[in-house]
Amino acid sequence: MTVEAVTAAEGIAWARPASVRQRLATDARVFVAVLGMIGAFMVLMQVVPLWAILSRSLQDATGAFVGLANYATYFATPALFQVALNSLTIATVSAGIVVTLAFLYAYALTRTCMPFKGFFRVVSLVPILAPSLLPAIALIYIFGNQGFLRDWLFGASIYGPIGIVIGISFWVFPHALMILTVALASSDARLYEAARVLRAGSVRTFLTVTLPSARYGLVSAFFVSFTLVIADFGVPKVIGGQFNVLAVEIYKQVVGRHDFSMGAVVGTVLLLPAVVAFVIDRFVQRRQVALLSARAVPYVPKPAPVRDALFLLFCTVMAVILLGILGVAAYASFIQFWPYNLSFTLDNYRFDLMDGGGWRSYWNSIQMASWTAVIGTAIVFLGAYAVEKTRRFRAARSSVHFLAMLPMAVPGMVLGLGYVFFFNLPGNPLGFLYHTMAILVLSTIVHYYTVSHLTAVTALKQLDPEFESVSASLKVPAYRTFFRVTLPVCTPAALDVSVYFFVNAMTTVAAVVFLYGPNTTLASVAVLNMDDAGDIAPAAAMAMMIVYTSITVKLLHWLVTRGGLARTQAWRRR
Amino acid sequence: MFLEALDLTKRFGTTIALDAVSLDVAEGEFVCFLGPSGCGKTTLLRCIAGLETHDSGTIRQRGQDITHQPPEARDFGIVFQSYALFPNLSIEKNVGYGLNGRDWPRARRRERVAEMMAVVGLEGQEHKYPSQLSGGQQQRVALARALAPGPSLLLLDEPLSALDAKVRERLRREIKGLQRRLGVTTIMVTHDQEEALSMADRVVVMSDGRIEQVGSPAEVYSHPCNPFVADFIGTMNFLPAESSGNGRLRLGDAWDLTVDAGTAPAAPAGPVTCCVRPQHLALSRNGLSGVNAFPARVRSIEYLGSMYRAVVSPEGLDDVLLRVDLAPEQLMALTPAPDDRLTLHLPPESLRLFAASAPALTRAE
Repeated sequence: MTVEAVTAAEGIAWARPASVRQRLATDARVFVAVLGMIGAFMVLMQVVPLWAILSRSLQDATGAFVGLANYATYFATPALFQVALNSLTIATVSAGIVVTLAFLYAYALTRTCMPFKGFFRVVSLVPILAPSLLPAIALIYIFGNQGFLRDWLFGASIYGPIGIVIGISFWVFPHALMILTVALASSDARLYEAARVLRAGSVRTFLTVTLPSARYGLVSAFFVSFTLVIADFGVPKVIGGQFNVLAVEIYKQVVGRHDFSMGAVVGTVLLLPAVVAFVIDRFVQRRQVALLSARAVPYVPKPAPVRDALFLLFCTVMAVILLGILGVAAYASFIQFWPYNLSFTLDNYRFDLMDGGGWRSYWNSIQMASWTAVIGTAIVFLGAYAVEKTRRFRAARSSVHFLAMLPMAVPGMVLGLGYVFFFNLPGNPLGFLYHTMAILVLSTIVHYYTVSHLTAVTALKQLDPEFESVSASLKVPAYRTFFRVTLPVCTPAALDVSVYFFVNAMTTVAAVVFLYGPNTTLASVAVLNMDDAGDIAPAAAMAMMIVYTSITVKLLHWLVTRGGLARTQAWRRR
Repeated sequence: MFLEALDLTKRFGTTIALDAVSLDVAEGEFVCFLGPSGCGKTTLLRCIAGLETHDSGTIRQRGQDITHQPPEARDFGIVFQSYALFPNLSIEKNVGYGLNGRDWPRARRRERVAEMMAVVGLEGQEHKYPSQLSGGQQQRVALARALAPGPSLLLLDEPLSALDAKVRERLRREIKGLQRRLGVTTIMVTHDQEEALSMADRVVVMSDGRIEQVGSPAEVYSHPCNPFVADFIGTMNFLPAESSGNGRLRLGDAWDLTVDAGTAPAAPAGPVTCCVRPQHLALSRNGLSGVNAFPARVRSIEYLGSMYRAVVSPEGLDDVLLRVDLAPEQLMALTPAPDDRLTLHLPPESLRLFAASAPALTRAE
């Protein structure tokens, strides 16, 4: 012992500790390279385009630097300033409505003994399968000038804030519902037992146990809805009428007036509230994690006939609305001429006779969505794997993770406009990508990166963190373990991610509306253009084509997960 | 020396996980790192494996400096607390996972897997998946997988703490027997002193990133070198006292203790901590005859299954609580009840002295 004590004392006294650097193994080099590539991809496809918008907003039409002059013009023009207020109002009101309805719906799914929960769960996801243009088109059929329920509005017009709020609420509903279902499902039954033993009434229990445990979910749902609403382009474009919002204003400035500088200013203004909402949401989510303890006992609701019946009624009404909106669009797509000739026809599906690129657009969309699903899933998993499993290089890992979280905060219109500026820069060697299928795929991957990345990270986190250590000790290269263990175990999550990418690539309008070329028109953009041209029934038909496709993919996914996958995942059974 | 660690230091932010730790491990030895959680024992193991990079210091294996080697280039097998079995591979494939490349043609590989399955007693389970096995069986698969390539060093990171008490005890014997048969140098991290004492050839007691004592299980148990080790291993009573420097101790005003010079050599004059294990104390109704016999009051009696534990306070020192172990027949003979006044005997040869500033003096649990 004395010898060691002396050595230790010497070490402190005069041997300045030299820093130990482990030689990098080949594996580690591969990890670092992947990390670097993903980081470079995110910087190039996201940070640089955003920078292009910011710098463009400080230039005049000729490209000369004018400082904040464009912003001064923007805020000095009452009409433009009003647009920002409109957006904030619509986003706040819609998010409030959506969160309220979604909370009740989620409560019914998780905390009551209402029957047909499975059915209501599936129905609630319907809006995700459609582009946001669809509810707007359906609302025109229902409440528009020829609408069959026009009288219900007591003379108010559906073209404007009312239409936007209803349409966007339909479309955002499932997103808020998913967050709130998780928040309400993950509560601790023992808190309720404690409340009961202490003789708290049901109202007091709700206020002191249910609401507090769901409050982070509520805040998160609100801000996610807010971000989705303020960033949405499809609904206000179709049904906004004279009521202008930021996302549409960018389009008008850029496509209508070719005023790129003002477009960039509006884009920056749109970016601000989205980023603020995003930051608050991230902050809240971090708190939510700390709230859940692993030892919580899941809450199991007990039957209460009156409550269950009331919630069944509420969910039925919601389901009728959700299915009704989809149903009207489907019905309208098969009708000769609303509302005068209601006979059945397939003419509306003869897209080649209309503007918008015809059936070619649909097949382009399928192609784009497939590429996005395949390439996006590969990039996302490689990135998540590098972020999760690289030892050391903490700074690089957290920067890549941050870059992966960022797309959530960037509205599609802003991202798309950034690409316009960046890829049209004179001398940009990547300029050849503009108007190609590749840029559509890349922009869609980046736009929907965050949720995919989180799904992949969650799946990887469920693996034992020591798999890589074990392989290292057994002298098995990490890539071998990745292909033999990590990937097979994560197959279900990888499928989830690819389906998410596919469906969103089919439905998205925002980013791609600036990027498609004459040969790369897309189905969702065709819906927009046909609606613009007044061909509303074919627009509904194309929107329904997207829905049919999404449903097919979801069904395939379900079948694969239930059937084929069960064989390769035999080890999951005990 | 088979493995030498010299002056290893590792910081996580401001906390020092390893503070200039030096240690030698001989070939074929079974060494246990023992200490409370956060003492640096797992960090030390991971530094030896190369899974953690220490800030300064040197590690040599068979005389070769491996400080800068990544784990892939070092020679060891490892078993984790979670086992880290690959869930989608069969037991056979898990065990054979490290048997790749030119050294392991198919036939030899199959042979080796079969051999390892036999060694850990899992013949016939080859085609099952990890989730179909019990915890103890999974543990054995992890052991077989780590040993299959024939590493010269086996690292075990709390390998038994996820198991039931019964299974744990059986696997303790099995791992020890296996280690002895294969002669593989083994380092095991544990916070369970019973595990360390029953399995190790040498125990390394750690706390706060430092090594407190290295020695055989018997050494660290009966000759702890400081109050921390005395307290951490086994159960120990602590008495604050004043040493006169000539083999006599004073406790409070009235107590005058004799200390055996052989077991507590030359305690300097001044405040000291006197340690004595519960099983070395005795209670009687014989009156105050003999060496170190003092009046004490019974505070409570606990039943511990194989024995009873009495908590007593020396008379006049009400805030000092001493635990005394009593065999059932002793208890029958004595029939102590709370508040009884009995005689407490402190055998001089069982008393150990440390310079003062010992851990908490009264630790009645």
